[in-house]
Amino acid sequence: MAASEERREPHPDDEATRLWRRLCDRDPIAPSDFALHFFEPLCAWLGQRYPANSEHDRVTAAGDAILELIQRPAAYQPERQTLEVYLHIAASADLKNLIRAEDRHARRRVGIETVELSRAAGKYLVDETADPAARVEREEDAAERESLLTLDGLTPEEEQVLVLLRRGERRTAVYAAALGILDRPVAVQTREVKRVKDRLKKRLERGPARRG
Amino acid sequence: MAEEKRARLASLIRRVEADPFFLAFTLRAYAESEGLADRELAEQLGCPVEALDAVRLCRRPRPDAGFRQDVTRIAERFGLRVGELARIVRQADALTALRAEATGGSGVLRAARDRDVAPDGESEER
Repeated sequence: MAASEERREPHPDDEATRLWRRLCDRDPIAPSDFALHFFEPLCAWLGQRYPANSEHDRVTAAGDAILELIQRPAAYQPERQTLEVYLHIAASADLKNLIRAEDRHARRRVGIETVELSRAAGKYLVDETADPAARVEREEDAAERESLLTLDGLTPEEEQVLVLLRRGERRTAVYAAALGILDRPVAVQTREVKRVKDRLKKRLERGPARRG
Repeated sequence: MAEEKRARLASLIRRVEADPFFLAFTLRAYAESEGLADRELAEQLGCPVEALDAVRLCRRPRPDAGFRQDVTRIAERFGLRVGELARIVRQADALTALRAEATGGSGVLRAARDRDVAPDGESEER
């Protein structure tokens, strides 16, 4: 895709905010206007930002981010950042998730000999839900995410982490993408992600403010 | 470039066709049941076939008291026949509910079974 084709007329934030408010107001046409306004520019941005990834993955990630926001517009808080920035962060995280899911899928295509010897790729290969430990872990995660829904007054960094926690994201790299620190060494990413998560935990220990 | 854009948008449309949140889901259920191609569906709705994607990306009209308001808003925006859109949505809802019942599912559009559609598209409680 040529650079000139990626340029587009800037759309003022107030127009984006109006679109978002129409989503919140359940305007039946708003999803159409919103998707047609943001989908193609978001695909172009992903193409520029992640040229090494496949077009299919980028388009899927752009769709994930847009469809998610269309159905859950309250996830975006306009005072935190522009809608465009929010979609960039969400689509980046979705793209990372896709890549990791594909990696996992590829790793599972292992020979039967490996399956026999490996618990990770063996008994629970076909049905992850059959692993009792994993089920308990998921339930604990769900309970934690539910408790985080009540937090209020978060910083923009915490808000992004919260969005990912709500989605059940567990990978450090995805949080690092949300925090815009993917260009840093992995150790730094890990430390910074942990710092933001720890801050959230302290907020919870102090007693979360209630929304609504 | 235009072809690439069309392909990207087509992939998005395929996704929303599988999601009952969107009107695309409803229109697909109806078109499949009637064996309609896009052009025939557009003709029934009264719009150019090029407008179908934008229509599909709309939110599905609320099945309750907001039904007529939503249908009218969508129809006016895209120049569709209001009564025809209402009829298509109700027919697709009934089909979806019947399929859900046949497969033992609860059916996301169960409410459609409990209503009649007046000729002008207004919903009425039985």
